[in-house]
Amino acid sequence: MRALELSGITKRYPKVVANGGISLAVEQGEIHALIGENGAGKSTLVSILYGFVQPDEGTIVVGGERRSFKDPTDAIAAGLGMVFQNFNLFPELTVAENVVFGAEPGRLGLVDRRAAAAEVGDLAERYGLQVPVGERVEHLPVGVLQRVEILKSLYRDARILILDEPTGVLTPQESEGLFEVMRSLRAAGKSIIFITHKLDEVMAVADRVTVLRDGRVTASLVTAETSPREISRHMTGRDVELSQRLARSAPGAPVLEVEGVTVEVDGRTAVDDVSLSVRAGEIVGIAGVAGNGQDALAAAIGGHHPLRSGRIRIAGTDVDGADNRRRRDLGFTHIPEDRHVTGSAPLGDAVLNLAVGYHRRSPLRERGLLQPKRMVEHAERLIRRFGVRIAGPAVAVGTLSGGNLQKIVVARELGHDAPLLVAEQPTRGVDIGAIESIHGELDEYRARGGAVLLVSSELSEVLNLSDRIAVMFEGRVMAVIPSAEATVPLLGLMMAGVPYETALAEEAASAAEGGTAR
Amino acid sequence: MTAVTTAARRRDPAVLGRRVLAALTGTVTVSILGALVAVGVLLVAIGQNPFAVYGTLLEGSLTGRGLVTTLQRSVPLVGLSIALIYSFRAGVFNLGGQGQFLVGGLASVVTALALPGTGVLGILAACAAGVVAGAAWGTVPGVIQVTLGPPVLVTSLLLNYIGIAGVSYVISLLKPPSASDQATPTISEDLQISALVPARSPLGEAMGQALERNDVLLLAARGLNWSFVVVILLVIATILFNRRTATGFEAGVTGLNGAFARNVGIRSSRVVLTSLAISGGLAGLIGALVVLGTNFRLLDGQFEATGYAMTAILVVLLGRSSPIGAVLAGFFFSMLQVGGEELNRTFALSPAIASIIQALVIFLVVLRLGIPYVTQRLRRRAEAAATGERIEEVPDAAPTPRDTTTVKEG
Repeated sequence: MRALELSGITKRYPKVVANGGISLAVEQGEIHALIGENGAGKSTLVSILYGFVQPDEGTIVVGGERRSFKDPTDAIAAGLGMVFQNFNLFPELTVAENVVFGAEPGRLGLVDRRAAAAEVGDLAERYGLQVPVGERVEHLPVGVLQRVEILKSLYRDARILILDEPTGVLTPQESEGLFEVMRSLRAAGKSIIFITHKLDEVMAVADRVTVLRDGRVTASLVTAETSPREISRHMTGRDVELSQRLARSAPGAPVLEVEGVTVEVDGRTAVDDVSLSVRAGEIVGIAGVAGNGQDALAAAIGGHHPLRSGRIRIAGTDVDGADNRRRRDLGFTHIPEDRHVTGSAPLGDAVLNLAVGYHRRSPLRERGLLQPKRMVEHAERLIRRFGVRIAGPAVAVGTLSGGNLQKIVVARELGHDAPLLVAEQPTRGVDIGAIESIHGELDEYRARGGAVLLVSSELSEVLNLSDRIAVMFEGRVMAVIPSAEATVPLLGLMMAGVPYETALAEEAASAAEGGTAR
Repeated sequence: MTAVTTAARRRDPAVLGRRVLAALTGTVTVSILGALVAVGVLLVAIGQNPFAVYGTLLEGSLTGRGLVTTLQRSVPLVGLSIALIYSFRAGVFNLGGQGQFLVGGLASVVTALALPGTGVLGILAACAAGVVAGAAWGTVPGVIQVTLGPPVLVTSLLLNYIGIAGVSYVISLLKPPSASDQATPTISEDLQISALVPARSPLGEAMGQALERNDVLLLAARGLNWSFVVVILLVIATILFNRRTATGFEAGVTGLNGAFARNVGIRSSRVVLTSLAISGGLAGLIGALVVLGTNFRLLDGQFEATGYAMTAILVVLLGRSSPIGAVLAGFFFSMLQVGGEELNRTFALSPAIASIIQALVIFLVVLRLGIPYVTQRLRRRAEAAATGERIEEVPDAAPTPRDTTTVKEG
């Protein structure tokens, strides 16, 4: 039986067609993946489906009945449930209270807490969702919170669940747990629309997959009959090879040395006694679920946050008390996490954005005066070298796409040919073409003898690029291992706080059982 | 806005063409026209012919003696605006122009009174005193912000009141017992900044013979003093500073995005302090020029009454923190004031009409700036809500995983 059918959904915005005639059918008891690059139209489609946005054309049929949603309330009434990336839960309330909120059992305006707890407990049991029903939500791990969100939808009798990039915040093991939940929901006859941009997840859990590109459906495939390569080709319109790396030479002298560094942020220990080093010609990746101290460590290396204890050396010089400018003079460069807030001046043109940091020395400054003509040439040179798609150097960089703006940031920082680069989430939210190009640039920089500390919440990125991998959990480095020895399950266990030896043993055991180790 | 921008644009005729078109259909032009139309309607309502009124306004402010008066008033207004540009362009909202202007004026008058009459050197010393005092006064809010945190926006504004009261007190000390005005003694003639061409100089006499009594050149030569030249030089120096110096470049980057500037090695506290020091110093210089060139003494309340320091903030806003913009906007505002006085004489209209036009222009400029911003924000908010993402100020912001753990962190 068909649970949901979209046909000819079209949504136009002043400059783009976000959805151009999208048709999609989801069967009852099916996990249907919706995959596409950033900007392919996934978000718009989901917004239409959940009643946030009204389509210009097209029809929505739920359970054989034609529907139009003015707002999410209509969508919920029709049996749709949505689990967002950011959770909407009350930290002070219990799991059960959160689930029933807004639809509490009871009468005369009084909430029957016991009934609520019992109902939620039954519901959780029925669908195999393990949650501590009576506990306050405050200190529960992210994976559990996600299950609470799913329960919220189920409590409102959702028959079709929409999960928006649900694995973005999970460790690989937690993701596996989520997939189990999804399978048991499927077994109970629910339909799931699973939005993602990760191919392996589609292969792991989905029955069918619809691929979006530039606002259109480019393929609708049965997962068992397709391959990651085929899906990827439909996503990008060409073959993509992400894992090619340049030949490596033996790493040289240490360029970044972090010794016993502890950093406090708002009275909380964000970085806890971290030691690691990055040598010339080496990429060291930091794996970890976001929020485990990676950003505080990068800020400390950049001179934006004082150390509580420990020392940092850049190119052999202790940088205690040195500000960002002084560290940059020593050879520090930095691709920050957020290209709009700290990585660029969006209202400034490419000339300005690319000249910053070069403007104090020759050739951009001669005899104390800036050379405007040379600044333009400098920008043009970097734009060419890094393949930024921009109409001209006088264009404000805030108007560029995410990928091209990120290339501006990468171009400015790598253009220095400085010995050290700290790259935070260098490809977050950019399209596959830009990912490919930025990965190539980082790899070339390493091959030229650059030292890179790569912070990324994309495990595949860390695994593909790094020579060694450090796993961070709650501010501590769990272990630093050569990437040849790293596997997704091993990293995943450590990302969840399992010590290295235990993780190694567990992984070996499950590998022996023919478990999930890859 | 920056040197770079202009240089890059100059090479690109398409961009240049678009820029001219943008200027003609731009916020400022439209706002000025809008204000004139709105006031025109008001004029019709009170039974006046708006074309006649505007004609008189233009004639009274742009011809003959009126033009010279407009230029005279432009000097301190443009000068103070240039001073403010140094901080506004760096994203430092210095509202303390009033105090810096006044303290500079006081320092120069005190110096001039203490000095024996030594001509140009004495004038330079008095100006230098104005610069130093204005810079010191102006930097105080910066030091407070950098060390303790309270923003310049607030402290600089509050310092004005301390400045006004303090200067008033010093004036009461300097006031000759016999004098009836609350004012300092008048400075010696030797230390007064002279007209461009003084009437009694040989050149002045020659001009007087060669030209008609009402010839605008003659009026300008006699009516304008050397402050006019100083302000022109200041404008040129500021353009160069913004375009060609590393400090000016860094100030521009900081003004565009402070967090970005800090992240690329720009020392933001230094930018704040430098901008305020220059801003305050120049405001102090303008104070000195007004005392030495126009008033020749400091009368309590006189500087505040002119409203120059506060109008300068509007000039910078209208001129979008650009020096050329400040010249145009400063001249325009002076023109409105002078023309407004002419309207008072000819039509017995209140000179407040000039202030109304001025206020409306600013109002419309702010409104027009606001509209695209507001719609953009609204659209993004809708999208953000739709996708469950955090509201971002940027169109293609990716959802950040960190935002998803609100509960855990909250």
